[in-house]
Amino acid sequence: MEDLKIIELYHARNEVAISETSVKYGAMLNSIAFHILSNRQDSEETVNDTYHKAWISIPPHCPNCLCAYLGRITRNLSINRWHQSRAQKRYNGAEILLSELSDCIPAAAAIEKECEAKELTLAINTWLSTLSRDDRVLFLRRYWFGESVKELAFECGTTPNKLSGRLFRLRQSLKQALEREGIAI
Amino acid sequence: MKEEKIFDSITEVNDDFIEEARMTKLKKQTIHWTKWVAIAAVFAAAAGIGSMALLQSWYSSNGSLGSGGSGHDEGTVFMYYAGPILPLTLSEEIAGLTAKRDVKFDFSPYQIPPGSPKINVTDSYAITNTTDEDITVTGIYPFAGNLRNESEILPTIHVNGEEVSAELIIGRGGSEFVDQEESGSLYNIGLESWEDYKALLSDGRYQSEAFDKYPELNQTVTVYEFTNSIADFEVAEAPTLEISFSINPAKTTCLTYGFHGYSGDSEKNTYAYSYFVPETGSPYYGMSKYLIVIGEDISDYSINGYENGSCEKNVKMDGVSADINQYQTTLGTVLWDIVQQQYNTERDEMQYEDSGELRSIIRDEDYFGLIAELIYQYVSQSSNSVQQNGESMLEDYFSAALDKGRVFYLTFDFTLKAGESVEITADMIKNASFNYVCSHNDNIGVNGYDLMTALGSNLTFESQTASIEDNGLIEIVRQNFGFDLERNIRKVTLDMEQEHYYLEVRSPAEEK
Repeated sequence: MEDLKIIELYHARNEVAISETSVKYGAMLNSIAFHILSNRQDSEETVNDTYHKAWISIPPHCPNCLCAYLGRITRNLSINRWHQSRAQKRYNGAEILLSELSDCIPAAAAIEKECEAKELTLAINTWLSTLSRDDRVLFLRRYWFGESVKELAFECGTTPNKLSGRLFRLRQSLKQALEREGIAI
Repeated sequence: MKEEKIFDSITEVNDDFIEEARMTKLKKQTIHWTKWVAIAAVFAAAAGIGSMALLQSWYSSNGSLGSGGSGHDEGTVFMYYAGPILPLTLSEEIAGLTAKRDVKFDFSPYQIPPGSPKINVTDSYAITNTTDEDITVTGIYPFAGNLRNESEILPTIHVNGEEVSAELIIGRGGSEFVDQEESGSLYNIGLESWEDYKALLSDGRYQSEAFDKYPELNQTVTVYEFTNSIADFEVAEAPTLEISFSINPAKTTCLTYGFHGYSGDSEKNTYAYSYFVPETGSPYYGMSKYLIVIGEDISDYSINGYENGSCEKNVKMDGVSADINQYQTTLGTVLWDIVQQQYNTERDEMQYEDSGELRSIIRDEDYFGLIAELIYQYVSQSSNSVQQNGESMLEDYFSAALDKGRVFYLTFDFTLKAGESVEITADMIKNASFNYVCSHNDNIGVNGYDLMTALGSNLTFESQTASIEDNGLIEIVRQNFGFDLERNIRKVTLDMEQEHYYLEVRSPAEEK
């Protein structure tokens, strides 16, 4: 079902909206949650929470891109849940993603003040727009959708080692872009 | 946690990018070699047909280049390999010259993550002219890297203590020399071990080709230049313009610039390229977009507008248009225009010249030439594979030109008086080789540095030595130099029959 029609169902308070959302985006949302949480049951619960949040937020929200809207909810719920369970040392899913993203932290030298989140997002958007499509897709498939290096390497027809190298270069490129912008985190 | 701030900000990136990532399949990293097609014949290399013949003979050969190695020594094969320190050579072999070499590893700048494990290296030579005539020679100092490396890795050359101005020559290709199976990849960097460098440099052809002229790309092409794109952003947030057409892939190759989407049906020979209409004020608003047709022109093209990049029928949208200027020119001419446009935009938007990368200090002609080399290599090989694999975005070639692992050469002239010696030093910042954090193996925190004793050099070495200034900052994990920090053995003589030396270190403060 098209996104517009699904959103219309939400606005009409027709619960078929949830089932249609699940049909179209369930697998994607489960994948995002699992790559952060590394636990099937908790991933499913997080995705169910996502549907609930979507139900109570649409309306008044009318997302232009339902995929991105739902994916963001899932990411945020997953990382929050990861924090709660991290104290219990239950998960390591997000650990790997976050340790890779530490490569993107700009150096502290010559930075004047810590930036706002929106400023950082804008800088990342600008950097993404300078990439080739394939690099941009790769970066987001890894760090937004959370897909594993192994899965991505298989799709690219290359080895995980080689793909890790490519991802490393992208992270370094982002780091340099943030440093040029004077971004402090 | 800073990493989480980046994670959270990535969560909020543009919807268009997320949708694009969701809908786009990653390109395969290999292309299939096919025989030369007639279109290749019209690429007149300025270097002459000789270059084409050389390339042809290499591609038709099934053997790998280089003398072949007997396997890897005990050094680690790191996931990120910075490349070895390579020895000085001369533009030609000259009888009567002898050389002594010393390589000093200075760990003063060494820092553990999140700092940088870069070190200072001084590669010194005492070259003696044993003849009874003065000789003026051209020295060539090679170093490994890529154009995205920081320019600080550029060595500084001194002759008898005085800094000299050296010309930077950029090595071409690279990966096709070392791995026949994966050599066809636009993205494959390929130089992942010292054996790869040995295969690359042993027979001298890579160095020789670095001094050749770049291909001129004189083929006449038909250009469709898209300007003044219009769409109603109140109707859709990601309006997309698509051009679709039919071609015979055996007779036509398309290249694009500024396009984001691609779809192709190889059975019906119908293809489509699309782009997000830029909104006023966006970084690339006002830039032209190009569809470049090599060979037979496209036929029956149609222009359609969509509400988003999926370009599905149910999201068709009226009011999306652009001015399309169709003209003929040479591939080299339109490529130059595009490279200039991209270069200038990057400079304006990203304070490019302050980027600190090697690419910011190379000549425009070199950057253009490296891209032309890639296009000559990949596009002229087979139009079929480019179309079918969707490797038609010029942006990909731009990125590949920057990312590709290479050997660079610094050339400088100096005079050797009869019976006298000259001291030449190359001072450089050396990146470490290492394993990524996510690899979770015992080599986390270990940084590697290595050198080749004679690879690619025509100097006759009497001796080579190496020394280390550790400053108490490192402990040696693995090596074949013979250093012993505890016993204060910090200078060693190298066996010149040993072609590769490696040194792997860790900070004593690092977790093991």
